[in-house]
Amino acid sequence: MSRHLDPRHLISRRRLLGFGLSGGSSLLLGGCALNGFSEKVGEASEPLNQRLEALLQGRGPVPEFRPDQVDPAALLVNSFNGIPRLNPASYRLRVEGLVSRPLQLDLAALAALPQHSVIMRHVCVEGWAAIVAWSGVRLADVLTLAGISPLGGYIEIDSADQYFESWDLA
Amino acid sequence: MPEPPDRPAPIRLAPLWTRAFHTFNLLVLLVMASSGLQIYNANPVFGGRGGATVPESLTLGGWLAGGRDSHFGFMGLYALNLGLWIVLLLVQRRRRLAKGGDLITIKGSGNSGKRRLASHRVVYSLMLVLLAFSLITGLAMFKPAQFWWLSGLFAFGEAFGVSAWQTLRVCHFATIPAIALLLIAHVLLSWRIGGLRLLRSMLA
Ligand code: HEM
Ligand code: HEM
Repeated sequence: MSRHLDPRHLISRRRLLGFGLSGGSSLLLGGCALNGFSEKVGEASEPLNQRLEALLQGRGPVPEFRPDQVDPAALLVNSFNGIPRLNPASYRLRVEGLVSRPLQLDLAALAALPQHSVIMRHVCVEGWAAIVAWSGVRLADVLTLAGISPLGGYIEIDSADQYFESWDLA
Repeated sequence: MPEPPDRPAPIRLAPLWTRAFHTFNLLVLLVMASSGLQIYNANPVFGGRGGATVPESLTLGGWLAGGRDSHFGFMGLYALNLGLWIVLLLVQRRRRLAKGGDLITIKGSGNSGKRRLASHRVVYSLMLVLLAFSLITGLAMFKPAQFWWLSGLFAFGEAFGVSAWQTLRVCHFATIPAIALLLIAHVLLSWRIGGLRLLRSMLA
């Protein structure tokens, strides 16, 4: 699995998407009649676009950047329900579903896993992007530890701010 | 009743495929521009969060995801139409497109009609180049991990403190004002050259 499955990245991406959803839903309620049209267009074109994307997927690692290109000011913090306060002592990362060893990892267990860091561009659906130095454990390592079944087609990620996101297991 | 002798010759329509590509391009372009402006509003290219947004009446989709649905839903049709059109033009109607001599005509010819025709060829050929450019910048933002070499080309602004991403966004967005200006020139020149008859030859 490639590096862009860094869990930190997941969290942030999820948050960003969360903002899109929360900001958007208010518009949706009062939005125009063309919403339905766009949704239909999305549904109709999605299968084809996904095939295209699958063709492009996994061709080499994601591009990395120099440390001096990191731009903290460019990274906007989007949260679905405000920034959650986590208690480091009671925090657990739960991994369950089609796995042979369901997990409840505390921070020490996460710290014991191989640590990685990567400098790459984070691209938000809103249009902005920021080059960020990410570090932490790989999602792939966590899933291997849990013994993920080859029958699993996707993972669902629930975040502390009550947002959720699903990822295909390519 | 006998026909009046000065009755104008029937309008010579452009080939069907030309009219089809031309009209379809215009329609899809409107969808691309309005859904693009919807994406713009989620985080304005100029000013970022809190920057001025585009009036909602010009946008398509109602909210960010709606805009992206339409933008990415139509990008394939837009690219296919534009690509096929350009190829067919190059193969079948190359004499219709601008060539080096047109610039000399525009500068030097004493024949104003010829100058206008040459300017017009330059204008609508430039429009095609510009639209192809929108496709390239769009692709660089759509798949920046896969097309890193393409996205990377836009790093030239970093010397001036502008990130490659911002350069890309500005270039992609610039399609709209640039095509709008060229479109005005295109329609005015068509009108000047052939009036309603020419418009009908292309749009009928
Ligand atoms: C095949 C062609 C195209 C592709 C692949 C494409 C792709 C994209 C992508 C990926 C974005 C989102 C950028 C991001 O999320 O960071 C975007 C935004 C946008 N697009 Fe396109 N696009 C295409 C054609 C066009 C055309 C023809 C126009 C205008 C006439 C247009 C206008 C816009 C605008 C105004 C935005 C918002 C800019 C921003 O917020 O950064 N696009 N496009
Ligand atoms: C962005 C939109 C447009 C693009 C990219 C575009 C591009 C072109 C191109 C490439 C040609 C030459 C085609 C050929 O001869 O095979 C052409 C011809 C023409 N276009 Fe457009 N066009 C656009 C919009 C319009 C609009 C809105 C009108 C009228 C209201 C228009 C009116 C005409 C006419 C009358 C001709 C025939 C010119 C001639 O034969 O000398 N176009 N256009």
